[in-house]
Amino acid sequence: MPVTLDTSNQETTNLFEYCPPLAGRRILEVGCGDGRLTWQLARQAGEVVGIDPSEEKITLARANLPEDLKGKTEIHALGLEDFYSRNPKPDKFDLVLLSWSL
Amino acid sequence: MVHALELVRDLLRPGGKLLDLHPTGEPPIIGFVTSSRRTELGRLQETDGFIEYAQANHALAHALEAGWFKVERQGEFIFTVQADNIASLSQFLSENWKDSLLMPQIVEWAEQLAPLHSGSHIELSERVQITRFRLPGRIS
Repeated sequence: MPVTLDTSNQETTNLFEYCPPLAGRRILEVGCGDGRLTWQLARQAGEVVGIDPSEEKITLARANLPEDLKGKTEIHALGLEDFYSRNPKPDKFDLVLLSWSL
Repeated sequence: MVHALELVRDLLRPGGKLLDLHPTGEPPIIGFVTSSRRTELGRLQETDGFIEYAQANHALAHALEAGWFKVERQGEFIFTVQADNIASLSQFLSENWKDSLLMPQIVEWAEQLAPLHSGSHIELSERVQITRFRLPGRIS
């Protein structure tokens, strides 16, 4: 593979060190991109919703979504404001991750 | 950005947490790495001078001042991108980091070194800030 991300594993290590306990929890990842962190979160959490305004990245994320995570992971090509406006009374989340997106 | 944080506040359950990851804005280091040595070739630049990260910090400061969140923990780590060669890194940047600037002298230097060191690779190292926030009120 010509390019590999987080080769020193510091992002993953720090992410899970800073996360609260995730078992059974509902998570919103803002800026999920191609799902790189989303799958890792979904393996530990109860439910993950990933959003990203890039249609291209979301298409890739949907193609890469692991089969065993499909029942607990949603992916949407939306920015935060659009996501919020389309869900006027959204179910709340235990954790919101601003993933390189602020 | 401030409005985004306002929406986040509304999306969290009582006791919920916000976790933010964003680069510090320090220009990332580009290194040429062999089995025995790491040579710093220079730093990646941006067309807008990494202004968005200062804006992110400003938005978070506003949110804290407004009392929307409290900081629970903050730290930094190094995010690394490894590329087989400078051309691969350049392509990756053009696809994923559109306002990045890879200076020609860095490319040239990497291209001069590569034939001399079999098995070498290029490494981009970026300093990232990670912060966990909680909603104000009872600590959970």
